[in-house]
Amino acid sequence: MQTQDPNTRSPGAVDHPNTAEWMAFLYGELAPERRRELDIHLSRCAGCKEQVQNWREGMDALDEWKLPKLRPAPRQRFPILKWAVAAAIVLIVGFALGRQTSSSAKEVAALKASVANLTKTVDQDRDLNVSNAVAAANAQTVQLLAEYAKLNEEHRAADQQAIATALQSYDLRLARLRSELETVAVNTEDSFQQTQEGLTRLALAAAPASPIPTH
Amino acid sequence: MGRSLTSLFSPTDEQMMWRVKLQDDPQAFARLVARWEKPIQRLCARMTGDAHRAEDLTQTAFARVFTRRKEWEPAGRFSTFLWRIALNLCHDEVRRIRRRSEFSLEALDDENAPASESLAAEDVPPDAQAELRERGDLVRQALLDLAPPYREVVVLRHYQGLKFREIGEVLGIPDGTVKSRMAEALSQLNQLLKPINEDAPCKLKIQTPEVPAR
Repeated sequence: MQTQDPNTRSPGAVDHPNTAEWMAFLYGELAPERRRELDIHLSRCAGCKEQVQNWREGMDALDEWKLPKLRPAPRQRFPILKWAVAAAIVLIVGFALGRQTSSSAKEVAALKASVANLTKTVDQDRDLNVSNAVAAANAQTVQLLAEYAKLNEEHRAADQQAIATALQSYDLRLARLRSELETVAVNTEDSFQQTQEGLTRLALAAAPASPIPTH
Repeated sequence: MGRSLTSLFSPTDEQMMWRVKLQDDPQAFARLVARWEKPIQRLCARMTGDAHRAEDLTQTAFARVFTRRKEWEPAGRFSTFLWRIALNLCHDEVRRIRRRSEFSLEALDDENAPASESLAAEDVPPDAQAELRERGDLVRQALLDLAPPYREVVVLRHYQGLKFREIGEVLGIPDGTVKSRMAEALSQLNQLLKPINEDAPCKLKIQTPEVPAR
């Protein structure tokens, strides 16, 4: 149904409020002065009164649909607040624990300091020991090397002496061998002459008639 | 809307939304949600006729506000931005339900039957409550039968208490148009509910109202 504008209902009357004004009137959005004017008009104009009554019935009907108290949406409300509370609890607990354990914290600090000192000492000792050990090792090495060199020298001298002795013995044996060879040679010479004489005699004895020319 | 003493010392919606927009401030956003959750939930319940859907829609609306925080113009009111988002969600939801039920109005009504029970008024004797519930349910159905441009004006003005000028800002139309839509919506509701008012059988004769161009 289209609403009839009150202005069109009574051609003779020109001061009928229009629909927009009646809506503002019905919902209390008119200035008090204009509202009074419309109230007066309503009491005098049957056409407008009927129309306004029709709208009021519609408004009354709308009022009959009541909403119950609505539940909040099913979600975690104020998650930030929840986290803030959680953070606050953690902070408070942490603070309290810190307060309660402050003495042990001092002990721990002292312990840490002593451990640091110990570590430092150990480090220093270690450095000293290492350098000492290196130095000792170096001295030992030098000594060992000296001993080795000395021994080496002694060994070489002994070897040289032995070689010399051996050479001398070789010389002696060689001289003896030579004299023996000379003796053998002489003996061989002698035996060769004796053999030759023996052969000569044998030849003379075997050929008595014919004279054998002699050398 | 009168402001309480405490609200004078608390930041405005626009100040908080400014923080949300520039700094993604979650605390400011939480305060906005706390302030506007119930009005938006009521709007969604009136627009869809379903209190359970309204809960989900309210969450979605605030999620969308956060997603679109960069689109909010500080020159405009935060509430205008929020109403607009929530209304669009409600329209989409009703369209989706009707499409799913193959444009059957009864399907939407049947689906809402349990929800309508939960929408009954409190603090009323059982017999009277039953009658009120029945009448309230009929009003709810009649409102659902209005075309969305009429329904949103009725909900924003009659139930949410926005001024016609504010509704014009939310919908982007002149307040004269808002008022004429309101008048037309009241007339249509009256006609839809006439059989009840005359103690006639409660089955409403549904008429498809003329839909104004938005």
